Amino acid sequence: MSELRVKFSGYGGQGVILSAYIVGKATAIYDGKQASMTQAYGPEARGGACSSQLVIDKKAINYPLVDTTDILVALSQAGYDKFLPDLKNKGTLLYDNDLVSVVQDHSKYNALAIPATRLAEELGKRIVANIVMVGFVIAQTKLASRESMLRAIKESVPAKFIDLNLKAFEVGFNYKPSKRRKSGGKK
Amino acid sequence: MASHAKPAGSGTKRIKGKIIILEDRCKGCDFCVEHCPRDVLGISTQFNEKGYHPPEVINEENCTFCGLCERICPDFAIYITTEEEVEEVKPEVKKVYANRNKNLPIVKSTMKGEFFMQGDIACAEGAIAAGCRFFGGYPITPASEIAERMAYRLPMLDGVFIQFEDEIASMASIIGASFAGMKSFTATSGPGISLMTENIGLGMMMEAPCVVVNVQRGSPSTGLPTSWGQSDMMQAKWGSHGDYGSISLCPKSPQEIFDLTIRAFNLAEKYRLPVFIMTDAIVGHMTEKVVIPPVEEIEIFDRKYTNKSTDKYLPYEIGKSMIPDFAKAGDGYRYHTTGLTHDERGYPDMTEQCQKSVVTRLVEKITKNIDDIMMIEEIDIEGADVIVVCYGITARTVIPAIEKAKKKGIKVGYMRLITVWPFPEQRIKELSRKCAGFVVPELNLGQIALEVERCAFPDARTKGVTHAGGGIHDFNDIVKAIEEVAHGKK
Repeated sequence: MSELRVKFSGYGGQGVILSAYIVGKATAIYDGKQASMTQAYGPEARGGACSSQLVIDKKAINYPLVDTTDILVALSQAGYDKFLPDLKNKGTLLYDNDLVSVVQDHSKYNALAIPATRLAEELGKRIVANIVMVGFVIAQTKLASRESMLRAIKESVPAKFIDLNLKAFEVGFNYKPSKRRKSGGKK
Repeated sequence: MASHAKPAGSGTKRIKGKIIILEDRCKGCDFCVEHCPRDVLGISTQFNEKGYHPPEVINEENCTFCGLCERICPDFAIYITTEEEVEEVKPEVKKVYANRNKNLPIVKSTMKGEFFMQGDIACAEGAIAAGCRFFGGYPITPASEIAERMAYRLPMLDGVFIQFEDEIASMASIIGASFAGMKSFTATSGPGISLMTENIGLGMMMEAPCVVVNVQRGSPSTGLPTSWGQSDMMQAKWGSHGDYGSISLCPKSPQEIFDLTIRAFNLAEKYRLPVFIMTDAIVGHMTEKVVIPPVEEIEIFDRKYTNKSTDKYLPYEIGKSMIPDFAKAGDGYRYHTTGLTHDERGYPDMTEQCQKSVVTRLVEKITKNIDDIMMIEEIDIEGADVIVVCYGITARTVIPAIEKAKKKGIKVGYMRLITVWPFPEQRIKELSRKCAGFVVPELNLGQIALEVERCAFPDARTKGVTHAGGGIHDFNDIVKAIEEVAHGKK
């Protein structure tokens, strides 16, 4: 695997930064690769547009920002609309299809949808939607190994929510996305 | 006016008092009821003579006699009286970190191992590893995480964290802590640095070892609070009034923030001045692997104390090293220090000669030790036609541009200023005779480019690649600048 540029986008409060942190930690500390994570957010604690960017490589990373994106994770319509143009041809798009309702033509991309927030609500807490999504991302893209991810999650979330988060990861990891529509979806 | 419970001796005495309501003055606005922080008051069902419902005391035991109701009443219808302090409350001794976030562990030492760590946090851990046990500051994006981390870590290490009312007080506090014998630091961003600037000059004049971290954001003024820039570079050298030598370190990654923070403390103690770490919001908010070595492998410079007896010691007496020795506070040494031009005793001396000797020394203690202080990284510099001079985050983002220019057949050298101040004047002068020119990309509208130009002129040309901040250079602009300088040679 050569260099991979990943962007997580959503609203502040959804755990967008923690998602990238956990994947970065799994790759940089336990998988022995290099990872560099940066973040961009507005002045709001919650509700503002927020994104985190992760570069993963086998060799040292010089350019830490993500312009052209290999993998885009969208947890909000705004993040989807803003960052989709940066996704490169044949790039992977993973999105929450309850929150991203107006989709564009996906024929250029490998687009995969998961109702992450709804699955998280079924687990009892919607705050683990990000971890459901992370599980889905790891299963679909093999960014990091499953074992490293479980370790990174255990070390990054509050102690009393470890079990819930691990469960959320498994739900996302084992989710089978429905067949993609060839026509590209509604506009 | 009553006051809150005051500490007295080992215990705390509570004030007793009375709430007095002048019912007939009341117009029933309920301000007192609404604003009471402890819900002492309620609205009475009784009418007063004007036909309003005045307040009544419903929870007297909750009252601390703070006097807020008295101050807020528009009709002077309520006031409180206080009696002698009578009741002694048993002291409840709690370690500060008992109330910390329970998810974070208590670590009573310098950390070690491999971490996936943010730049700001690495800065705080670097300070702790260097022996810093005092932080005085005021949180500001994008430097808040440093204060947050120090607030969490210092109580575990029996250190002191104080959040002050502003950056002016913060800078004063770290100078004070430094003279009391503690390694101290503060962290802020552009607007905070501007407030600290006066006291930074005081630190320079008094020769107070301390570290000031500037996580640069888009400026001037409030600018871009959550985004980046490199536009305070000249301020680190010329910010406070007067001539003084300055040391500024520019890390490019969280690992380097950790390493350079330790070095900043070492240089501060060795040369006795406030040392700057000039990082930016990208590096500060970047999370990467940081390796923290065991504490015994970290090189630490502790300040030099005098070995003179109390009657022979003078606070600003200079030996061979140009740096005056400290005396330990509380060991019986007479000590005087001031922001005024001072003689060896530390007493004000307003003569031309004294001004000359003090200010010259403040500058020369840095310039004459430049070989010990200066750090630059050079790659492919020999035989290069164009040399790219960069620092901080730009030192990473220029690399794709350099690679592209090399593919086009241009010999490009790479020079990274790890210490921007003191500036490597001699090295630039030397290289200017061998190359066609310099390209200086930076996230400001041309600051260090001017320094390079000053040293390179007239032998080589200098081309700055500017960017106002909040984004990063288009790498084609840098390639174009490299080509322009290279072809200008022919």
